[in-house]
Amino acid sequence: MRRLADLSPRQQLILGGAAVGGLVVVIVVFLLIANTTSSAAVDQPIAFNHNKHVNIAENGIQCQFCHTGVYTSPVAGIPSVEKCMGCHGHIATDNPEIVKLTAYWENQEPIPWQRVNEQPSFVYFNHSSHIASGVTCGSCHGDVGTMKTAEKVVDMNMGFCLDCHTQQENKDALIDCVVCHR
Amino acid sequence: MSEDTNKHGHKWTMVVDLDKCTGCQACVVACHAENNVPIASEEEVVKGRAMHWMRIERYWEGEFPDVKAKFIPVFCQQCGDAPCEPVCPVYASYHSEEENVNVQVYNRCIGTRYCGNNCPYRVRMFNYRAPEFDAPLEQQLNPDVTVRGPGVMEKCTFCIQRVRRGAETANAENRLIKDGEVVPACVQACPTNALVFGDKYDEESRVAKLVPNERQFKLLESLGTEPAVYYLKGGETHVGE
Ligand code: HEC
Ligand code: HEC
Ligand code: HEC
Ligand code: HEC
Ligand code: HEC
Repeated sequence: MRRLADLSPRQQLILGGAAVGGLVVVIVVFLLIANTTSSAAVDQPIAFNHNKHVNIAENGIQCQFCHTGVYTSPVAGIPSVEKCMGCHGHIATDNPEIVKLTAYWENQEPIPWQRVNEQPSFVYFNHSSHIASGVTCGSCHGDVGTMKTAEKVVDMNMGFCLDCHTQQENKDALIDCVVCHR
Repeated sequence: MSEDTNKHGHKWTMVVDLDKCTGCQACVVACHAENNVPIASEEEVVKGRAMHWMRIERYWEGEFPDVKAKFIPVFCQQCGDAPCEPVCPVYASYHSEEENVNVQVYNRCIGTRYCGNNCPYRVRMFNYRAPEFDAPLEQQLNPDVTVRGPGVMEKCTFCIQRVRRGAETANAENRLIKDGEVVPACVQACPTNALVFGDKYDEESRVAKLVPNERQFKLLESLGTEPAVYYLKGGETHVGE
């Protein structure tokens, strides 16, 4: 095998160009993959399955039964361990995930759920304003009811919010910076 | 954006009755707590880097032993024609057409400090360093208000988060905001009710009725800034009114 130094300058140039070109391709492909998988599931302390609970054919529990704040408050709210135990004191108590759940209950500890959707601290968001106006959960969160694990499906950046706000009747009031930044 | 050219939305207005102000500073403390305003150390204050969205100016009148203290609470005057707005190169200081107040978009601010230098009332505060809240104060930060980072200008907003919350509640209940429904933290804390807040476009509001008053004046009125803060002159004859 010839060493790099043995190559003519022209050959070295071609080889170097090929190496750089290859690297660029690898980086682009990596970025593309990283981008499309930005909705990857978050690691949760308990494998909570939305589909199992929400699906009509299975249990048909409504979103606001667990996310109680959606009609009345800015935050949707995550259910307490007590709410889970209202059913899981009796249902599927042998399931290893429910055993974990019961341990939190007995140790009187909250479950450290990881956030899936989170806005930067300088953004104010309000669930009740949207739900009262008939905007469905799906337009921002996707079809959570069919998900095994809640995932982020859209990047809720400022353009996403404004695309919808500018289509509303009272758009002047809804695009004022102070609606979302304060 | 003068008062006469914008008649839609609200005209949030404050009336300060100087007869009733005792200079107790409860408003100042309430403002710090509500708006996540950090507390500057003594060294910072000496450097002219105090952080208050609201201050009580104190004036002594007369000669000892016959002296009287007079107080004037001063905060952002929410000018109708604000000197801070046109000088901002990035539109971080802008006039909300809906609420008719001067708003600072903190995440937009790049810290040129032009606005603060152009403000005749000296009510804009610059974050020279990252805000620090000594324990346990960090536990009571208001989640509805951004904690401003270093390099950002900030100031009194008439508690815009409370104004907006009032608007959202009224909107959800399909009605207009009622007079007295929105109460900024300073007004809520004032033990003598020296501060009155409301929408001057609402003719039945208390502020609309208080403004036409022979005692009424505005700070540095001659500059033409059209403040939305009206003061009622102090003087013993009016005590208890
Ligand atoms: C049985 C209770 C329950 C029901 C019913 C339920 N959820 Fe959830 N939801 C949870 C729990 C627990 C979490 C936190 C764990 C997780 O993220 O998976 C959660 C998380 C979420 C999240 C992610 C929160 C974040 O951190 O951003 C969204 C979005 C969500 N739910 C939407 C819905 C929607 C939409 C429905 C109705 C179709 C629904 N949920 C029904 C219990 C429930
Ligand atoms: C209204 C009753 C009800 C509530 C409330 C409820 N669950 Fe369930 N859950 C069920 C039922 C029914 C099943 C299905 C049991 C089965 O398949 O045997 C289930 C199944 C599960 C499973 C097993 C899922 C699987 O993949 O097999 C887990 C884990 C679970 N629930 C966690 C939770 C957590 C955490 C909460 C609180 C946020 C909660 N549940 C609240 C009724 C409920
Ligand atoms: C207009 C878009 C939008 C709609 C509609 C919407 N959400 Fe959200 N949701 C968000 C945003 C943005 C966040 C992150 C908020 C934050 O970080 O402050 C969020 C966060 C959440 C969270 C976790 C944080 C919290 O507030 O408790 C849950 C749970 C949730 N949403 C459930 C729901 C449910 C259930 C519905 C339907 C009833 C719904 N959302 C409708 C935008 C939306
Ligand atoms: C699918 C459409 C849609 C999307 C997407 C959307 N909004 Fe809204 N938003 C609305 C509607 C409709 C209202 C209610 C207007 C009303 O009540 O007059 C509203 C109201 C609001 C309000 C309360 C304003 C008020 O005066 O009641 C806030 C705050 C808000 N949106 C923030 C956001 C943010 C932040 C995002 C992005 C994360 C967002 N919205 C995305 C449709 C949307
Ligand atoms: C409907 C809600 C909404 C309105 C109205 C709105 N914004 Fe935003 N803005 C957002 C959201 C959400 C983000 C966060 C985006 C992200 O996380 O990528 C944001 C981010 C920003 C940022 C980026 C900050 C950073 O550090 O990344 C700036 C600057 C900004 N907004 C300025 C403004 C200005 C100026 C106005 C008024 C003309 C305005 N916004 C009106 C929702 C809004």
